[in-house]
Amino acid sequence: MTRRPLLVAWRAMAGWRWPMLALVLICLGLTPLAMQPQPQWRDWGSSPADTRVQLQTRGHFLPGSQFEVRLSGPQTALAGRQVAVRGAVPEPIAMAVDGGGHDGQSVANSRLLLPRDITGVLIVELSKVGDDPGSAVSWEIGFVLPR
Amino acid sequence: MSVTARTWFRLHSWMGLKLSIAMSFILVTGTLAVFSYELDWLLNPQMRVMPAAETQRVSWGALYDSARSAYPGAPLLALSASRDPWWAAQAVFNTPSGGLVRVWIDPYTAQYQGYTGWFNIQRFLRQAHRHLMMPAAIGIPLVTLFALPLMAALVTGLVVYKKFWRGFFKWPRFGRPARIWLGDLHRLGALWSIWFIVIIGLTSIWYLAEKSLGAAAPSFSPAVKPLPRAAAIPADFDGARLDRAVALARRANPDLQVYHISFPRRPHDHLAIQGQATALLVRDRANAVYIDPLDLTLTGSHRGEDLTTHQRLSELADPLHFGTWGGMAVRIVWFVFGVILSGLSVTGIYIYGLRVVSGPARSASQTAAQVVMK
Repeated sequence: MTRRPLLVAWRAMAGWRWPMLALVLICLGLTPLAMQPQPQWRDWGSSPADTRVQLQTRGHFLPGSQFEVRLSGPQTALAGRQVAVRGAVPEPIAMAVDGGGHDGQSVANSRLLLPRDITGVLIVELSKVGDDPGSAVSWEIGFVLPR
Repeated sequence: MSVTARTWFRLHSWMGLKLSIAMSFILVTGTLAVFSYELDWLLNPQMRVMPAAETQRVSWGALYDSARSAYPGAPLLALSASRDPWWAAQAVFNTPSGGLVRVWIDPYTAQYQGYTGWFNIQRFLRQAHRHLMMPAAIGIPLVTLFALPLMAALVTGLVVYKKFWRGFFKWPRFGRPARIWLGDLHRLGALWSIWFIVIIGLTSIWYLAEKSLGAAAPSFSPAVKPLPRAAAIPADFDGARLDRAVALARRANPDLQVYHISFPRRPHDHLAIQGQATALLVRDRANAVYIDPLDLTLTGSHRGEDLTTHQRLSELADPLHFGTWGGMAVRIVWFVFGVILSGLSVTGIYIYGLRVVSGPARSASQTAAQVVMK
């Protein structure tokens, strides 16, 4: 096979080649979205920032699952907080919440890859009291499927 | 070549060329999809088991208990066993995130073998081929519309190829220039694929009608609905109860070979025990026995033969389109003809380019006509 006949055919597809190619490219472009498991967010409501919060969910979390906590609230209420995940593992798995935000509100995301099976009750603990005790912090929690 | 024949040929050439990129993609993904499960099987050791005698298979209840203990607390949606002895049984669970995960169990020892995520090669090929990864409401009509030019290419090709019935045993002239032997090969492949193009084209048109034009068959509904319970699956439901349910299903339909069990998702859903029986060319769900998981009473059953013509047509489409109606041998045939069909799309492009490149003195259609008419 030489390239020239293919080039000729390609040119002859004028008017249709880009729409047809677009269909294929859209398909391939959408594939990572289908592959990438999206976190399913569960709203845990809000709690006063000066309260030590424990959230529980029951289940069997397979190794490779990702666990994500999203907090929103005033920057001062979020700064320096730690989130710990505990389950059937000997030590709490801690992750720092990185603050940031705008318009007086801050959203902190923290993602953790579970290193092993966690069976039973999973406890998510907001362990450090913020600097702004009167502000409420909203919680959302997300689990990402193993690939 | 008469003006009419030339018009038919131009139509054949125009469709084949202009739509070739997307058409080739759909044909290639569909061809690979025939063996998509096997591709996953090759890549994931947890899906493989050492074949043993059919009599050594453990009960469905043992599979259930094993799957439950592997992934406690999560809702179990379905349990299925393959017809091929080298496959692990599959349990599909809902995860805490609302997604799906596949848990694999050895059907001869009931041992947990591991898990895989929901998205795999099979899902990629299915979604790419079926709706180009787009939302199904947009993608399915888009893809299935390609069945129309596919069927039109068959008709126009046969009209242009005079006395085509003489061409079934014309071996391509490989010693001649590429334009000649590729044209011969294109025609030979197309002739032997007529039946396959008709099956794929008609089933795709059916999918278009079913999914986009409101021609879907009514779903199967058991006669009696179970009374609502506290939970979708009763708390004390275990493998022993599932075995009793399967035994009940086999009494209700003695011909039933169970391949799939759907577990209730809502507190008033049935346990659905599905598989193959005496009806030909139907999906597993066409033969089903419905059971109330709370008290194990029969709430309904149907066989493939009980379905209405409309439902039967709907059931027919998948086994015919996928080639899953006759075991591995049929799937090999489907794969081979899928390769040929994909090859027709690709060789068509190249032949077009060749005849334009090698025949500058003559008009494209004249040159093409000579190639085609030989």
